[in-house]
Amino acid sequence: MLLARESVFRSSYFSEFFLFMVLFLMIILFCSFGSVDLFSFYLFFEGRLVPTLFLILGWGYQPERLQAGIYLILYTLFASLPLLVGVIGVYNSSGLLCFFFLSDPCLSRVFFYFCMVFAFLVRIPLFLVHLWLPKAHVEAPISGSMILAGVLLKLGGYGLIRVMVFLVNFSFNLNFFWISISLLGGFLVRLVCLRQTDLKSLVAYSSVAHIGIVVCGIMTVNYWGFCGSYVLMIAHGLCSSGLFCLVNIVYERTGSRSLLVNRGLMCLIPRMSIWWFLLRSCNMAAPPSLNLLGEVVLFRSLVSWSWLTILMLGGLSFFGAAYTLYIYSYSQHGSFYSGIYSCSIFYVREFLLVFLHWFPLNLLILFRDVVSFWL
Amino acid sequence: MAGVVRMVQGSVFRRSITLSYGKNVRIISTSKKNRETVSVAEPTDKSETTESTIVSKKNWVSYGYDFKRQEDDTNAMHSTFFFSITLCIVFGGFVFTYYPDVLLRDWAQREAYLELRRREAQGLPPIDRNLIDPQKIVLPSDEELADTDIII
Repeated sequence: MLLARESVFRSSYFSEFFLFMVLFLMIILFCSFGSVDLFSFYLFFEGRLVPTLFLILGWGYQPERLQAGIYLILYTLFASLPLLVGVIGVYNSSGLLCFFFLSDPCLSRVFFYFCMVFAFLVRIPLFLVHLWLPKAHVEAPISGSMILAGVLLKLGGYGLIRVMVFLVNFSFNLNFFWISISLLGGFLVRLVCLRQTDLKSLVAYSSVAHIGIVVCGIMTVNYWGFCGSYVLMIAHGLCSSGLFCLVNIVYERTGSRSLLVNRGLMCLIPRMSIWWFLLRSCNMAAPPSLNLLGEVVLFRSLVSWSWLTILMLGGLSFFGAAYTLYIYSYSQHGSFYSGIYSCSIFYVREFLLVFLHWFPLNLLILFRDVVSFWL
Repeated sequence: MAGVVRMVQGSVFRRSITLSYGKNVRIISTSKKNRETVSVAEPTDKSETTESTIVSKKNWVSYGYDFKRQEDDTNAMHSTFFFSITLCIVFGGFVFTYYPDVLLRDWAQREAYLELRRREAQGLPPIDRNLIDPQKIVLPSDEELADTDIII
């Protein structure tokens, strides 16, 4: 993130405060993923909103970032308050909040289930409550986008996995609702991706589609579902973050995120084309990427849950490949925009940044047993 | 093949050899810039080094870390590459590969395969039907189950 945001330091735009915000966010995320207690997890889960908001409002590019910040805060806070109620409910019934000892809290109310799950579904995000994500991603600075896509979404998935353990009784009866919304929503969002002209918005919508499959995997409450969602969360974090880097690299040169301006890039920066290709192929789960491993495991889990999911999964995969190839071809091939005056070469810093995103993505599939069966 | 034939025919070949041997050959050219550095017969070491250092400062291409000071730029490049690639990828990969078996997962898989081979050799099924003593299993009675769906 610090590598990506070199322009902040170049223009000395409150660079020390920016650094502080990024570090503060990193510490909060580290604490949230390392917390053993449900309440401390909730605390850091909410706490990471503040530096994220500062990053978007302080270093975003356009005036629309105000609305994006409001969407982000209101969506997430509205859904998180019931989570606090649920946490207190768990404490009242079980007397403890440590993750390792939590079991069925004997609260036989569906309201409790929705309280616990809804916050993570908004965070992850589920299809119908995903509106904050394209706005926040587009308006956020590159570091904000990278950390949003790479880590913050995964907090929702991590929380869901933690919480599903003791919501199993409700899950068997009610999870079909979230699975069907996710699958149908993922399909629709992939169709929306085909229509996008803003590159960042496109990557944001493709995030929603990927995460939809992750949510389905967690909601099936299979071991394979959990493993596949875990793998796909890691893979998606690397892939989306890398794609945001690439979009930002192009944005820094052309000043526009529009696909109509950023085309024929192979003529201008051929060294970057290979990274576009590698990361795009990982995005559509082409072998040998970690996305492929995650999707294969998740497909297996979903199809074992119900064979009807094959219909949606087939559509999802097809349109995923369709928009990915279309975007790669449109942005790289063909003639470039005649309005571009000059374009600087691909710096070593950017090369390293994108390489570090791609390297674990294509390497970790060789360590399948370690990566997927960590749970 | 065609290239070999042309080389054997000779005139181009001879010309290229004479050019490479003859350092005193003067090539007629209207542009003056290149000739000052190239056509000097015996350049001294000092002038070469001063010319090359001047040339590198004029045409410095940044690594992307700092566009004003070359030293800071180079230091930043070296440090980022060291920490990310040397430490995280190379050393981290080494530690990850040779780390002892956490939670005995690999050991358990090896033992399982050995056990399966042993049982297969003896003609036994992979897992015993009564692995858990049936007398220890307590099932709910039919009145307790009532209308609950049993999913196997």
